[in-house]
Amino acid sequence: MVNDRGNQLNQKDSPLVRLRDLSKSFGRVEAVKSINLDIKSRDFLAILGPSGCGKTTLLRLIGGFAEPSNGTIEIGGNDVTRLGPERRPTNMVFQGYGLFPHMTVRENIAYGLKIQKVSQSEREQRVDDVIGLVRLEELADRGTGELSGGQQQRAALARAIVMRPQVLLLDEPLAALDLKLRQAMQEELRRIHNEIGGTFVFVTHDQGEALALSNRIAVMDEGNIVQEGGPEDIYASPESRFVSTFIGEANILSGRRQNSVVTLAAGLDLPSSSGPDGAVILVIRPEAVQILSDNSQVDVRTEGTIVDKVYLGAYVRFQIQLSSDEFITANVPTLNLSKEYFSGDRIAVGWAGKDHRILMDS
Amino acid sequence: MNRSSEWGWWGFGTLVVVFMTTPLILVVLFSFGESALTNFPMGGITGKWYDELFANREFWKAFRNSLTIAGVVVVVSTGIGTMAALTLARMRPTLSQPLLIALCLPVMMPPLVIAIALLVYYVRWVGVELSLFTVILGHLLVTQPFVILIVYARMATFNYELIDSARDLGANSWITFLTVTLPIIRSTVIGAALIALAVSLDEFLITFFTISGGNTLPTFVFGKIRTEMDPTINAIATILLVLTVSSTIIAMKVSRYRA
Repeated sequence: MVNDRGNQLNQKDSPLVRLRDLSKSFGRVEAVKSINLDIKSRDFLAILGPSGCGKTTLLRLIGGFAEPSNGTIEIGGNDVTRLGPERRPTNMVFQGYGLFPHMTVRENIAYGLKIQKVSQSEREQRVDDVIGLVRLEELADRGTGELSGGQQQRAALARAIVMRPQVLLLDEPLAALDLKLRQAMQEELRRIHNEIGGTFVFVTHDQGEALALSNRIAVMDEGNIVQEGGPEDIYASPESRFVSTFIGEANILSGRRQNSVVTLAAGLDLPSSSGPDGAVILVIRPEAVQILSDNSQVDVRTEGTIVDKVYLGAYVRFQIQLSSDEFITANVPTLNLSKEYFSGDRIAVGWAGKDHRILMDS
Repeated sequence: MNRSSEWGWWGFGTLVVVFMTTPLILVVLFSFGESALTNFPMGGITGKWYDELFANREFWKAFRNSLTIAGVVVVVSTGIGTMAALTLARMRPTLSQPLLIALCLPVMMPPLVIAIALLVYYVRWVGVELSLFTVILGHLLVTQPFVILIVYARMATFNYELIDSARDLGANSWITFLTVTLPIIRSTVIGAALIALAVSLDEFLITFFTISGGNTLPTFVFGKIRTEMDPTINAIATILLVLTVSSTIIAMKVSRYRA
């Protein structure tokens, strides 16, 4: 992606955005606590976390809308920590879109180029290009008030990407849309990211959205980035109770580790677990839990009672009470069910040892 | 509510309206009446009081003074008041509320007190010569609060994401103000300016105390009442009425648009 406002990144491997010890306090509240994060060129990074975790503040720090209390922000090798948003090679798609109500869609999109004094012919060309990219040709000369939510979203996106930012920032881009539109816009965003090949950073509280859109996820909690990696890594190898329950569903069973043996409250011994002694949790995804017929061989096996059963079409969802009075959820594909089960049935459940993770209980 | 008490309220309301508007209607009526006594019967319809008024050089001087003062007051109070309101609107309420009250103090005080205070201040403390300039300063004191309050109220519903958007797209704060903030709040600002115009045009007390020589329309009327009570006063009053009422109506129309 060519950029008019900053240096083009030369080395492919060095990160495009580099956050170092970045923190931001509002009064006594520390919204962002000493964050270190690298964003590579062409990344589609999701900053994921519950509301109030500081993710929007982090995005606003990158965009220049808030000044950090501490730390530095580098974009494309330049220190932009003290620069205002108008001087950063970033553009933002705001949660409320921020479209100018007194301008048409086309005028909105051309606004930034006009301020940059891009020549009229180039301006018209670039505006037409992005209008085509976001498929707003029919509505380009309408006022923004006449647009639906999804159309406003696309206009805001067009207005940001016409500037050819080194980093495109999106603040909860799909939160205001209804479910169907949200799915359509997810596809749209993926397509646009593929077509223009830019670096996108977006903030979301929706783990499904983060998994569907991004190639990297930074999970935030209480102002910290608690885990960062590809969607598969984060889902398959959560490093904390928070991450395991926030991204996807997870069963948490409590236990203790002593001399490399984990003993679960549910009455199970799991050998050969390395790590310090102390309280631990076992994390297992509902889709990994199987209902066992007597002869099946699995690594981990225990017994329980079905307390609830919900038929969900593709799979059946069981709530199973274990001997420790802990509950475990099993999502069993309907096709794998060899017989019918009812609430109150005593059953054997189990899973493959590679599917669970044992974490220190913090 | 039963029928008779409803009628009662309507009747009372009508009485109040009649009581309040009759003097205004009479003033307009008598300004076109033949009789020189401002009394019934007023004789035929005539424009002679207006002719007489328009032939009076003192009237034109007063008229010009009024327009000069109002013109400067409108421009300055709208400019400064809008800036103040924009700044106040971005402050924390704990800071903006006391400032707002302080800035709006002049409209809460009796104009007579302000007028006397200004006179003493100008003459005794500053030692500045009384002139149209001192009148303008006095008018600014009482028109500014209106502008600040009106624009401040508009900013309560302003979408600040628009300002962030403009900055994000490369506009500095001045360009953002000119291309985004001002066009969006334009109708409110025009409305505030017209209210300032109306207040300045018929302001009497402060003008009277701080103008020394010369007249504005209200002080001109006052002078005439003391010397010669003739229907040209009704003609001036009618002109003032038309000017202030029409600017207020336009102000209300313009600011309702896009409210």
